[in-house]
Amino acid sequence: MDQHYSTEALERRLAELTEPLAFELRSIEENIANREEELAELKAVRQRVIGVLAKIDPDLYGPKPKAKAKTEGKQTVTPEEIKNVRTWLEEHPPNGDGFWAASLMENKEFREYTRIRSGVIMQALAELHEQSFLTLDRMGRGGSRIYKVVA
Amino acid sequence: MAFSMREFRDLDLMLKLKEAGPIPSKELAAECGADEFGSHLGRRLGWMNRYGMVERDPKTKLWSLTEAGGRVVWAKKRAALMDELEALPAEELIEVMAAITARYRLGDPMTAVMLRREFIFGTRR
Repeated sequence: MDQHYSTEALERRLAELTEPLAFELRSIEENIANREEELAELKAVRQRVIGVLAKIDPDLYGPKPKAKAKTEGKQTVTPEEIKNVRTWLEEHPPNGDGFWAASLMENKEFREYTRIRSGVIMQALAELHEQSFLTLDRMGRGGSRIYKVVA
Repeated sequence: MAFSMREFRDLDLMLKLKEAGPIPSKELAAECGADEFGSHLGRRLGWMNRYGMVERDPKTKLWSLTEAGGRVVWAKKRAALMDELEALPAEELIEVMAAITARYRLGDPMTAVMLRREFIFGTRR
């Protein structure tokens, strides 16, 4: 296999090799274009058929109600609730082992003072954590977040 | 437990280190409530080390705060400053933010990284 090719011969050889593949590529692209056209036509027809069916049977073919956003109906903590929790923690420093949402909510005085809803207590603590008022000390068993007031 | 920034802020871990003193990562993981030690905390500490917040003694293999990290932790409680910030009208916070971003660009690299990571933590929702 000790053949030597001139530059021209090499170019010719390369062209011979690539020509069939280039032809194949053109053919594939034509095919794709044809099918895209067919697909677009089919989609347009489908839309027209759905439009007719929706008039006959709107329950089955009419526009579907939009899914409710996940946040819809979710309770959001108010700035007043956050402030109340902070003030309470300042005035009643918890013991050194830290505290978590449920441990606070078990305390009747805390609930009465802060008037915080149980569904948002974790949000309030997360907010105070972001404000650097609290530090996340550790994760408890079951994934509860145990906080401490930053000294 | 992943020790990701979604749970523990850099400051949480730094406060833990301040409290515990030089400590092996295995013990620090246990202090943070991890049942078993994985490589997660080690990786996190590795990044914090790269950013200059914490350091590991190569001989004792104990982790502790760097001098710069210690300054950040000790500077945390400036209650008067926090009250002032809270009292600022929202529009003036934009100027405060501009000052912070200037410090981000021009300040020391460790503080810049911490500012960036705090922003990520605080705006992730």
